[in-house]
Amino acid sequence: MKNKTFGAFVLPLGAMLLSACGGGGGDKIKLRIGFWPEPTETREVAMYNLWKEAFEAENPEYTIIADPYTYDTTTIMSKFNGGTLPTVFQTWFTEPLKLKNLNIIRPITSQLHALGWDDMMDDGMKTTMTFDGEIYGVPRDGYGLGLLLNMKTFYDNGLLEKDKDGKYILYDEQDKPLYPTSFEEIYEASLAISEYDDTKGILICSANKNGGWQFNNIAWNFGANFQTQDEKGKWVAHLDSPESVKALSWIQKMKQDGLLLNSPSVTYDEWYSSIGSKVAMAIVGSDVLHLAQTSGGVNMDDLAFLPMPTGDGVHHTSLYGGTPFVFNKNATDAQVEGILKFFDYIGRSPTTSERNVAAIVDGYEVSKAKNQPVIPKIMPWKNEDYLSMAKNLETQYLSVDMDYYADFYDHIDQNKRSEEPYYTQEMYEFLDLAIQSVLTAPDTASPSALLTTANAKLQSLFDQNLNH
Amino acid sequence: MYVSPGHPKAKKKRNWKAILKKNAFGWAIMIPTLLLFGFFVWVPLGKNIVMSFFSDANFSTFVGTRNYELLFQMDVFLASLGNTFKYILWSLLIGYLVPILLGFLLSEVVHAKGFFRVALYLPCMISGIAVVFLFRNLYGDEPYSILNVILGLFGLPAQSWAGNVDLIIPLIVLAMTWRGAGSTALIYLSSFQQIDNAMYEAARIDGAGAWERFWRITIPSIKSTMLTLLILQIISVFQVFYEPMIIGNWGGPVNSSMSLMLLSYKLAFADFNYPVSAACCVVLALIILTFTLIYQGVVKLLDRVSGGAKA
Amino acid sequence: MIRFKTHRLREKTQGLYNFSDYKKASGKAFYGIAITILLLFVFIAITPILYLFFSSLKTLEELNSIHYTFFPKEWDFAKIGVVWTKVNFGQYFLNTFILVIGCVVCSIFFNALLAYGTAIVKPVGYKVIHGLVMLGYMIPTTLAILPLFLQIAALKDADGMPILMNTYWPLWLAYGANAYYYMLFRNHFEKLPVSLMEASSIDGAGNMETFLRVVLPLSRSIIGIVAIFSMTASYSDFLLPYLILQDDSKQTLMVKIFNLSSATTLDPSEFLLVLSLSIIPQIIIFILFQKQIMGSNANSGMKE
Repeated sequence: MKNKTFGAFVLPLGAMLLSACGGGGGDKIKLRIGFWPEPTETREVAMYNLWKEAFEAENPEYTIIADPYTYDTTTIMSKFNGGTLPTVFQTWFTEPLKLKNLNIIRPITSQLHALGWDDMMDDGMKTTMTFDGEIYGVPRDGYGLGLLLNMKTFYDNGLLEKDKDGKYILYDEQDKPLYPTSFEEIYEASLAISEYDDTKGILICSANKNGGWQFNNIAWNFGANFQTQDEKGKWVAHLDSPESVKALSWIQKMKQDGLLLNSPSVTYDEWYSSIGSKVAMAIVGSDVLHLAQTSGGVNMDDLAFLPMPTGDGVHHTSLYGGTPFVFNKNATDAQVEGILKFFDYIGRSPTTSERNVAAIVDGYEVSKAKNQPVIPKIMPWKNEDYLSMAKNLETQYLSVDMDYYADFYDHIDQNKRSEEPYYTQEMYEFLDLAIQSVLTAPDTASPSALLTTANAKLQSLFDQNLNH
Repeated sequence: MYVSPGHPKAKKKRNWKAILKKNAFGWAIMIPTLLLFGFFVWVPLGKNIVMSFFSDANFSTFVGTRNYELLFQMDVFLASLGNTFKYILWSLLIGYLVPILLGFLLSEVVHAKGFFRVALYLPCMISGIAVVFLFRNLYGDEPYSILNVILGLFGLPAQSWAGNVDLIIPLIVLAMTWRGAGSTALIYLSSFQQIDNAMYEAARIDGAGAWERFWRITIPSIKSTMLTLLILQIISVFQVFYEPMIIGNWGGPVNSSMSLMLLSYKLAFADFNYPVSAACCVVLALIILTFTLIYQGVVKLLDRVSGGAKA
Repeated sequence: MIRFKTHRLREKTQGLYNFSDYKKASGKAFYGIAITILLLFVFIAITPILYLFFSSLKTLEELNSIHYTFFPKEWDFAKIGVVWTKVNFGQYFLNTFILVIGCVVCSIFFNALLAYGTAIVKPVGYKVIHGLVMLGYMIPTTLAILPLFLQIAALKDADGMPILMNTYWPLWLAYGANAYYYMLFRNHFEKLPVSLMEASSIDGAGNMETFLRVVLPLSRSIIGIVAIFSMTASYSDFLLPYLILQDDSKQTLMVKIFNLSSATTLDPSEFLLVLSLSIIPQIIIFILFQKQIMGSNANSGMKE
């Protein structure tokens, strides 16, 4: 009786645990692909499934497992500890260093070297993923921040004109820009735009680290540098330099005069729903411009994408980053090799193989079928054969009027600058706070005091972890 | 305390076999649940305390009180500690009296009783996550967000409600009250209904008016309920979590809605700072325990004071 | 106009105001104010819910329009079907249902057994156990979510794959360790007449038989209450499910809602519709069980 009753309660528990252990399967090497499209994106999923079939047919030792994961700093830890982090996933160029320090990702130098891909990577992108001589990722694409301008709003407010064909005139006869090229001109244009209705001048981010990220770029263009190394090799933070204070004061002035959105916590993903009628301008990365149409409902030919404005009359720097693919710490060499092989099936390899080209074409065709605008990309690879192939395909599929976009792409090579190297996301968070403080109390906040506080926090991170 | 009156203490003659059998049975039925309590409650709580004195989640090196020192140096921690008291203040102003009023009115009203109860209780049924998303929408800064529509009726410009440092906590408390008031009101209702009607009658005979009866009989009769719910409310306010995360966008703006609970979560799951997060949890647990102990002390004191009067 | 049944006031004998007070003008005024205040609060309680329902049936253009109307100009019912398939709602409802069933079973089974042990069987050391459980009750379990999560994640099989991640087991079993449900059962068991149990044991029934034949039939109401509580609680549960159910196909409604809130797949009006759909089951449960829910609620806040 005793044993029976005891067993009656303990057995189900044991059974529960056992049944949960089930699963397993085959001896195939599993590749969990974290950048798989979300199930709602049916066209992309179908395309990826075709690629998967082709890959598995030709490489029977592997199975591909679709595992859509959008990188997020608040989920990466639970994903990794829970053992559910995919074998490969996308992140941002600011992340590999942190992920490497947390022991979440692994280097893939030898696998890349075997394919020769390490020499084909865009130099800037490669640097942001290389630590102690080891490469930790494969670049997907890059972006540069630029000024997205709603020409229709400008036109409606009398700030731009149209020619007889109905095209917006962005340059005068001497080819000089008629759009704002400095922050001062943005201020003036914003004044004109927000005079008569609810439309604000420009979208300035201030939350989710997006604020610090864009502010970094604004401050550079006022002449600031946020992180430098002194002669003893010690890292010094300069968030409170006079140039940086000027940049924050510009935001303060914009806010005081009611030229920014009401909310003091604006996140980056608000730009595409705002660029239609809430703001006339936004600072946007070149890799997501299509969202203006697909998610924001704005005609791409009413928009212009332009170099970043300047604050000091010299710098038009574009903050330059992008998306690398990184590999789970627990991925085996065989898994890494399999995934690198798979890249050729999905148009992400630097080769001009038939497969790679066909996959790139597939991607464009899906965009076309979805009516998603095709805008120039910043290429992840630098080898000539790849570049000419990719550029050639791109021109075939481009769907925007390059008269409104070329200015940015013509200058990105000279304007681009990679993000600051250390504790970048933390730095952005500190800056977010400073911006939010300015936006919540524009009349009383002191930009220099706020930036001094932010600087002290960053410096103490440096001193605790970098400067020994 | 829990010994039932007819407890067969006298029948000590029971044979040992029966006693053994009883104990074996008792433990056999308790052990599965105790294992669960161990796994889900006791061990995690214990680990949390231990982790707060170590360098990481693997308990590699003992660091004494360093995590606590780091925690108290963080301005976001000090901000959330301060916010907690703002939360309490606002929740007492907005959230404490409303359920008492509602409970009282429900006990007095004789028409459409069922309707009032159901309608007031309905918000309590909606899950916390859905409520915070609903209120994030209501507090939006668009011209069509509901509060701005109301302002617009008076010709006032749109505001960024959840973006206002001074408004965010009252707005969050309002959302919490909206969801919780109906359920608390029912607790008050039942204690209003338990008031002995003879006391009212006696007061009427003495010629006491409604106002006097209210202060002499109604309020004193629900005193202990009021005290209990006061402490429960304070304890629950310390745990505010989803509201600042979603309505306040991770405790913003400028950390003005950051709570200790959200901070400890953020430290652990976004900043990977496990030991300092553990320290933050321990501080919060200590605060909650303190309030519970104060409450129990006060209840005992009240019992002693009113115990003589009742007898 | 609705006829006000004033005879109810004339018959009112309980409470602060009774029939005699309502003869006076001041009493009538009080009653008028009381009804008005209650109606006002009912308005406040109901309006946001109606706002949600109506807004979610508006088109995106209308939702974004500055010219606000409470009711949609066009009722966009077709959207329900569109969103349902887009989000694959059925899957998340089913997942939530699976979670809720397991949580209800565990809540009743484990907590009732422990309570039976400490309230009636009382083996050696039961007081210590009771004290430990109550200590855990005072400290919210969310505080220990990090060690708990790491503990769940650390259970791995021979291949190093986590056993409990992406399964409902830890979520179900967590409801088996709930001090509040335990206390509800214990309070109930303590009130059961001891004589019944003694009679049963004199009849030669074993402990288990007593539990099954005597105690359980007398505990239907408390089992119902715990079932309803755990049903509503697990339906709304977020944090632990969010951490454990990382695989999209396993996620519950609340987890999915949270994930959808930051995704670009839904426009704002569609997201509101998802919220609306998610609260409908809760409202149905409430309509079905309103007596039990409100009745048990009244006693629930009062702790020993």
